Amino acid sequence: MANQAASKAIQFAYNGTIASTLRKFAWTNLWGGREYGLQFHDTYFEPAPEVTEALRRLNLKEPHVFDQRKIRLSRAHTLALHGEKLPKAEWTKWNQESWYLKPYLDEIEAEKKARAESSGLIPPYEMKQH
Amino acid sequence: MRSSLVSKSAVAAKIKTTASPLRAKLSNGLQVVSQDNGGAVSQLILAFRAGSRYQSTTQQGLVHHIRNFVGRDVQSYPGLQLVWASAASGGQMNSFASRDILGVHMAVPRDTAEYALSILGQVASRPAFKPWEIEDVLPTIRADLTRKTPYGIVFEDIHRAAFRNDSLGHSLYAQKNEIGRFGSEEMKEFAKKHFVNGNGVLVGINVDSETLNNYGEQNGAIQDGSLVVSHLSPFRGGDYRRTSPGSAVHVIIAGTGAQNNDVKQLAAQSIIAAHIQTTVSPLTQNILPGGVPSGSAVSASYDGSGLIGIYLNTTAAMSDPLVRRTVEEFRNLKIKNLEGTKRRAINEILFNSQNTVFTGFDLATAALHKGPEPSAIIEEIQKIQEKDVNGFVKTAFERIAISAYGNCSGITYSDEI
Repeated sequence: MANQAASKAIQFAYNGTIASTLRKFAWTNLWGGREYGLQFHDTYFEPAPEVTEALRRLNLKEPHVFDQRKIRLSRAHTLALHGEKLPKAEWTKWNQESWYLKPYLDEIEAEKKARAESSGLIPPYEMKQH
Repeated sequence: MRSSLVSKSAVAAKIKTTASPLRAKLSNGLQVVSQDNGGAVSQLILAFRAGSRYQSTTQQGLVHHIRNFVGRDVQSYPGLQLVWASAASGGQMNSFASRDILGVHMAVPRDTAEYALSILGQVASRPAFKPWEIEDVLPTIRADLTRKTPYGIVFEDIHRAAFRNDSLGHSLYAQKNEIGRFGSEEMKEFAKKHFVNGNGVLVGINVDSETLNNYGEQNGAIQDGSLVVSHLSPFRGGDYRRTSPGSAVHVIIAGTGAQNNDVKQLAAQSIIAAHIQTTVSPLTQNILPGGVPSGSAVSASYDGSGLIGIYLNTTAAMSDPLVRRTVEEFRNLKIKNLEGTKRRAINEILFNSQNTVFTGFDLATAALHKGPEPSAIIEEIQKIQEKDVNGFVKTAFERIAISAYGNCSGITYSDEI
């Protein structure tokens, strides 16, 4: 379907026509990252422990994806610093959007659930002093 | 009087000898061994031919890393969930490795054995080696290295001395400078090659053989694959020394031992080990007038080769005469009371067979290398003659290996004896 993300491996909780249309509408009109050439997960709230851990795991498992994220963010910050945006032709397109953090975030949520149902022990990454 | 005689025979009738193991090879290539002693605790082992001898020369220490990764995430489940589930069903889970095999062992109450089997299959055969878990596993490897005993150190070193550069010389432990050298991909490749049906065995003690066979056939956990052949690693002999300050030295002197699939050699080796092992043995009495301070037999059998010898803990001053006399004694080994030694050897096997954990390990190793069952070894020991023992001794101690840890400046080298 045209409304679904390019990567078929990424499945959201709601994948029907309505949900995916709403998702596409929100991504196109309600999010401001497209004009800076960003992916949605580039602007995820990094200080959240789950996102920090997901980014750490991304760096360990797919360092090239992490590097590309860094490059996109650096370019976007430079543009915003100068008060510029990319030309419309270079804005992120829907079929280029990859929800690259989703597998890691899903795994972290599953681990939290498993922890709550079993030992309740706090994982090492939440115990580290930052 | 009569009633006591009757009750004695009734008791004797109730004592049955240990059940013999049932071996099967399933259609997918997995071997299954089950032995039901009627006990309340089941021992479950899933082991593969993936010991330290299967490491390549650039992969020293890999098996130690993989062994310490057991209990972490597997491909389809979080590790914590599996470990917690096994504990909640009353089980204990350990990973183990020898030079020939690597596996996971679970001890569970009999009624949760089926559930535990499903956990075992996942934990042993589908580890995920996630990159972010490596930094949690490395401290456990460092902790293992701090717990080495002097006997453990000389035991690893005798393999380096005896088998030199070949695969049996590879250590079970990673060295300090090798910790953290292996990435997720390398470990996954090793697992993909070795943790497969054709290369593995499922052992169950105090479990129904039907339960085991059903699990072996129907589990989707263990991947299909073929047997991994081991490289030849013959006994070569030599020396390996570690100097450390002090006046004591730990020494192992060993000769060529039995292969783990040759029942005659295994029988001869257990007799010689029994001869060496006794506290005031004829051997130790002959070595020095005052006897040996302390020593015990070292006996190991692997695929294609083995070790038989003695471990001595002595002072530096006594070390050289002691080593020379021991080697001389080995080469002229004469067992005065063969029948008594045979009975001691058989007792050793029977005592070990009462420990279901050891039995599980032995059954796993025997199944993977076409080795004999304990009852076959006992039979062979009973049949063995003095000339067989002498023949074994002659080839065993032609070339020897010596490993020493401590003040080893006095000890002679193996080629000078």
